[in-house]
Order: sequence, then structure tokens, then C-alpha cells
Amino acid sequence: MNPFPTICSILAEILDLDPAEITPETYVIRTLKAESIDLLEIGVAMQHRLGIAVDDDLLFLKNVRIILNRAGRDNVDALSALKSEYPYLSEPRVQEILDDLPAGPVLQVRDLVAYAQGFPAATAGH
Amino acid sequence: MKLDFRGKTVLILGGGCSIGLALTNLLLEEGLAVTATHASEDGKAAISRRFPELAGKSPWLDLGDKASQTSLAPLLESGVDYLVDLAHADHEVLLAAAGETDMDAYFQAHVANRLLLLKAVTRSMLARRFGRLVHLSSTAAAMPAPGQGFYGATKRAAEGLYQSLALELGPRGISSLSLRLGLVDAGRGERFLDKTDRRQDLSQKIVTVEQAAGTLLFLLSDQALALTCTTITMDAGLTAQKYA
Repeated sequence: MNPFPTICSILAEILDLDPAEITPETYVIRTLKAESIDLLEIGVAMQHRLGIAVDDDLLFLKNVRIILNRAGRDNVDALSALKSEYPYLSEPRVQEILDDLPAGPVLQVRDLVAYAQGFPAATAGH
Repeated sequence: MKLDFRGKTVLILGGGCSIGLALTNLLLEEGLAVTATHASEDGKAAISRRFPELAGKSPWLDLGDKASQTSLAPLLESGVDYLVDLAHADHEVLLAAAGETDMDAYFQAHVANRLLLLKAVTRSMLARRFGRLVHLSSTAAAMPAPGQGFYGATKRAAEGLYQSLALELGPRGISSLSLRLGLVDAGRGERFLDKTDRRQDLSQKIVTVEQAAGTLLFLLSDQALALTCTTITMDAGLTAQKYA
């Protein structure tokens, strides 16, 4: 099942938006202006409505800069480090994230979708 | 005054203690659904003896054992409206004499594991945009007796957690407060009174179990929802004077 419509509905309700404004490429923080309390509520709603286990740090790509700093310190390739941490994201998407990082928070709606599709309850952390 | 309750389900941590049992009785009279946890066989037996209808329905929850929190998963999945936190183990030791293992275990249980539990409970509440947290604290949080360093410090830390949760989640319908009780003629307070034979001269400073339970009931009610992000004291004036 494609979780995009459910995620759209969740974002629209919590952020008081028209769902038609939301596309897979919409930035959750940069464009929709989601704040930390909104992200918390989005994570809880995804957990309940999609029946998935949610790790907020992973779902919202909260530790990207920390991972990159650690990779730099340990002489690990940045792409490999992010791919290892976020295995549910495709390699092209991880590369986009690296290129896009200087412009601000990179999280897009499609990343939430990828998490929901790639992280079944049995493997995601609480 | 008739109290109103917009929620239906109550989770009491440490429900086998005297105050937990008295509060459960009041909540059941109000028509609320109560789940009272126990950390010991004595607590479990006390709940079953007093409330046969709750026999076999009391989850085991020991703050010192993180794995025991999984027993609450079904309740949190179905949703909980109120949390009353009475869970706190006593541990008297002079701080300068405390063992490292004791330190780690006590603070892990009463601060970190408590926060882990609160995280799960508030996430359950967030899904329905309503929740009320009431934490039973102690005047020892501000005025510990010698030997109560662990207890007082972790009570104070817990008060901080409850205050911050209310601050952060208030906009989403979750409120929270701590109630500091003074000398209660139950549990460790009863042991103190018996041991020191001070029941007579402290008789005016004792909070009864019924008073404590009745106050907790009020604090859970809709009428008390504006009492949030704060800590209040109920100690019959015990800590108000300079010299006892």
C-alpha cells in the first residue's frame, strides 16, 4: 500500500494545510514550516495510522550533520555513511541530500514515505 | 462540587500502595477505568484483595527493569487519558557513602527509565490530543533529611520532567503537575512515625491517605486542568516554619 495519501492527510491536518499543496518533493521543514512539536505529532500519527514503529531521529533525518561530522572525523565516505544510517533511502536520494544540505533542512515528504515503506514495525526502533 | 472527567482511562504506577488503593477506589466510584501497576507481589496482592474485579489485570511494572514497561504496550496502544505516578523506591544512604552500582541503578530507574515510560505514555496521549499527568512527589525534593539524597534528588528530577512535558506538550492538550506530599501516615512516613515515636507531637502535620487520594482525584479532574507546569505542596504546614 502506498502510504503517501495517509502521510499527506496527516501533514495537512497537523500543519493546517490543503493536501493538494503537498507533493512528494515538498520540504517538510523548509517549506511547510513544521516545528519540533509538529514533527513529534507527525511521528505519533504515522505510528498509529500506518501501524509502523517510529524512531523520530531516523524518520526526520535529525542526525544527518552529526553523521557527516563523524564520517569526516573517521575518514569515511559521506555517501556511504548516510546510506548506512538510512538504508531505506535510495542512493540517488542520499546524493541529493548531500548536494542540498547547504540550503537548509533536507527532509522531504518522499523521505517519510520511504521510511514507512522501508521500515516495517519489526525492525524500526522505538 | 461534582467533579468532571473528560477522559475515561487511568493508569496508576505503583497502584498497590495505600494511596494508590484509596485513589483507585475513588476513581472507580467516578466510573473511570483503572489500570493499576504493581512492582511487587505484595502490591499485586493488595490490589487483588481490595478490588477483586482488577485481579489478574494489574501489569507488573518495575522502574528498575526497563523490560517491564512492555507490559503496558496494549494499554498504551488502545489509549490512556490519565497517568498517576506513585512509583518510587526508597533508598536511604549517606551520599558520600553510596556505592557506584547503587548510584547508577537508582538514577537509571527513577530518572532515565521514568522518562522512557513518560515518552511512551505521552505519545499515546498525543494521538488523541488529551492527557493529564499527575506525579506524586515529596517535600524531600526540596528539604531532604540526611540519608534521603538519592530519593530527594530523583524526586526533584522527576518534577523537572513533568514540568517540561507540560510545557512542551501543553499546546497539544497534555497537562501535568507534581504534588509534593509531606508526612503521610503510610509507607515510609508510617515507618518513620513508628520508628521515632513522633506520632503524638507531629499529629497536626500528618497528611492522611484519604486526604492525599482525594486531592489526587481533584487534580485529575477537569476543574484542575489549569494547574499545570507546576509543583504544589500539601504537607499540613510541615515545611512552612523555620524551626520544628
